Amino acid sequence: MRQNFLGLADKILEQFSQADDLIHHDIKYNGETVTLYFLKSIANEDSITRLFIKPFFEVGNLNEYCSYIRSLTIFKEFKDEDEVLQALSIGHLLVKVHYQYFLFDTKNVKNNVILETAVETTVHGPHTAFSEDFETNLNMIRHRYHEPKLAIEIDKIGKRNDVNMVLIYDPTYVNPNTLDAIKTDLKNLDKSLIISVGQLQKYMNKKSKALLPTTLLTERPDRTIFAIEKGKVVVMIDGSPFVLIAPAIFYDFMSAMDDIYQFFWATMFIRLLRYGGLFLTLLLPGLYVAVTSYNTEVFRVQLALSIASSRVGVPYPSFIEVLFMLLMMEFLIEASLRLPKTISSTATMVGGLILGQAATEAVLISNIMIIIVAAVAIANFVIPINEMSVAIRVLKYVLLFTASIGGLMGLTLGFVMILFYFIQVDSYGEPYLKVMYEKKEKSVKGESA
Amino acid sequence: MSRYYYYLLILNMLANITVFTPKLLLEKRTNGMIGSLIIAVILGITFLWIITKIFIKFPGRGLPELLESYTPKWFAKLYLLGAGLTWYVAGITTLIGYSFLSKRYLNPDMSLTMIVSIFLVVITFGILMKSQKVLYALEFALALCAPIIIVIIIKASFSDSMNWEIARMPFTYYRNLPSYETISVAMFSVLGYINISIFNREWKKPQKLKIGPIAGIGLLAFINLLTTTLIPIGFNGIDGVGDIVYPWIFTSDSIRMEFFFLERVFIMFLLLYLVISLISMVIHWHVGFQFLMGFSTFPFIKWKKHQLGKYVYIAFFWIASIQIVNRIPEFQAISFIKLYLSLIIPYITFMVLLLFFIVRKVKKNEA
Repeated sequence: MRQNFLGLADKILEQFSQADDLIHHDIKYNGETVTLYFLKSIANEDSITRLFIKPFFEVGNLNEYCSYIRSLTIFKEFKDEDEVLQALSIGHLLVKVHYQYFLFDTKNVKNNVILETAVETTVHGPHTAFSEDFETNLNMIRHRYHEPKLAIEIDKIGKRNDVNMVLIYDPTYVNPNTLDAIKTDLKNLDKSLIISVGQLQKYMNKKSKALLPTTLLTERPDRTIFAIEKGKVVVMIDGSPFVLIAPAIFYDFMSAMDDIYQFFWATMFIRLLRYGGLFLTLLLPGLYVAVTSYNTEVFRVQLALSIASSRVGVPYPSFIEVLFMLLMMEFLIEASLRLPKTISSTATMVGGLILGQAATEAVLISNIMIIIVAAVAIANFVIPINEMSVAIRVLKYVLLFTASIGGLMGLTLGFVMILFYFIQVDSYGEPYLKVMYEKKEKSVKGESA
Repeated sequence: MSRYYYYLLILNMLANITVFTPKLLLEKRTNGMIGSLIIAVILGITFLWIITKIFIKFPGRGLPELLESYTPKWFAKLYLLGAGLTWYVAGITTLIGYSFLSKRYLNPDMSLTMIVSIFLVVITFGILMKSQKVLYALEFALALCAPIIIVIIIKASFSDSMNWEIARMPFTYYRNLPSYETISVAMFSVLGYINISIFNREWKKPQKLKIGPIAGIGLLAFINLLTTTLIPIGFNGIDGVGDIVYPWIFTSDSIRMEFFFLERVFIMFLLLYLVISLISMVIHWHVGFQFLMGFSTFPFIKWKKHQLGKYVYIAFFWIASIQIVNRIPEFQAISFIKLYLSLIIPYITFMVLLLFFIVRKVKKNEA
């Protein structure tokens, strides 16, 4: 609204000269002229017509019109020309009245559709996931968490694309040290393009080469609320249907929202099942190698004999057999993930059934191997959060390797090694894996051990 | 006290079943063993009380920090070097024992060097963790193993092969005088508190030592020593048990779980004790490593801003361990361990005197 932006109109036309969707539109009435500038593709034309063009003809007096548009809630102050150019590019409207300029937020968001949960589904919980628009998401959070103190800090991130980033936390519960650490991390992020929260998750992990996720991605509003109430910090990025929760510890990755919605013993059972799956998928390939090639005396003799008899004719040592089948399974999982849905069912069919069947008949692998590979694959999917399930998928090869070197001893030592690896990781000052966590009040004060 | 303090105590009790302690105790089974066990527990708890009581006066400070502020520099350095090596030897006794055990029962085809190297990889990773994380790892190992070990011990006590008549026989030799050797070997099971000299750094809040839990620990230690010795006697006979190098391994191989998918308890027992001994080695070497770091961090050894001083010790740990395990035959290892364990009492007495000296100096400074 300042008057010293004399060349602004020309500058806009010059900067957007290649943008065919720029509208600069003069409206004239009673000899008075007002010019509107906006990008047709991203601004909301309806509201522009309703709020700016119609009143112009009804008021008829420029002074009154100016005070009218300045009283609109979408009115924005601005400091310099660059800010105007930036604002136009994200759907703002610039109104020129004589030599005065007014800026308005008339963004038209097309991706604010609330999605169905696709990654984390539950039986009883809410079935809606976040949308790709952050304001819709904020609405969903506010709608579920009525707390006047709730902090919502909107900021920009990414040098080039300058996308909206929102930090949400409850000041009553959050640990100030954690909050500071997260803020510094986000501030120090030196990336030109931030497209999704997944990217943030990667960059916020302190080590450049890490395996374990130390922050959690979720698409579920209920999980987000739950995390906020637990004193965690939520980071949201415009355009991404996922939010990032930090800090996240190992147990967070092993819990599904259903755990809260079901009865105690049902939950306990399902948790037990999940940890059973975790151990199975980690240990089974290594155990097979250790038991067939090193310590055959471990199992009862009938089982040892039946494993040995099914391996009759298999030309390779057991670790090659396991590696071959596990890799086949990984190919299958990767292929069915990226293929178009219509083809992927054929791929799984050919891969899973025919390949497995043929491989046993050709005596490349034993029958029991097929059972083990299937069990490993299924047990891996029991882990509810995808990042953790991928990490475990990688770690089972480590155990396969140690078991191939040292038999049962190698397997056990490898397992302890993995345990150490999990234990020494920190997620924003929170120990990643620990048998028992202290009560929340204690951990907030930063007192532990 | 913090719960991790009790974990340290319990770890030593569990770890003492492994390898050579039962054999060393059982040597004197008809020669005042029970009396020695009682004396060892009483003596051990007394030392525990004194040392812990002194350390909780200095919350958040370990022995290296105390020595640095209250004793002459040459003495502190010398003492830390000695303590570091002592703790290193404590770890290596377990390493020797378990590598022979692995060679015999788990991986007969593998060379000792290879077995020791596999151990060392994991241990190295463990000792380089922060002290707090080592305690977390300890808690995890105990949470995973202790329940199953207790089940095995209970199953052993109620097994048909367990003859309680024979197991009671050592009590009939109560008139024999207790022996120094047995006392010092048995002291090992109540020695976990001594690691407070490093882990006290993690307990920054003032702690309280209560009589109740410590009396419980004393009782637990006594029961633990009794099961360690009496159950192998009950299984193998009071004469036969003397010929066995690994009494508990033999004993566990006499127990079957008919309806479990693992029939032999033995293999489960070996693997559980693999984890327990590993974590015990990590604790000992971590403490030793911290002492050595207190001795010197070799600040002049660096490469591109990275301080490499600590890797000098790691290299020393590796080379010395592989050499020792390969050079010392098993029967010599046993007498070596016996000698080492018999030094426990003089060592702790010296440490107590040192701590008294420090406390006196603190009082003088205050006055």
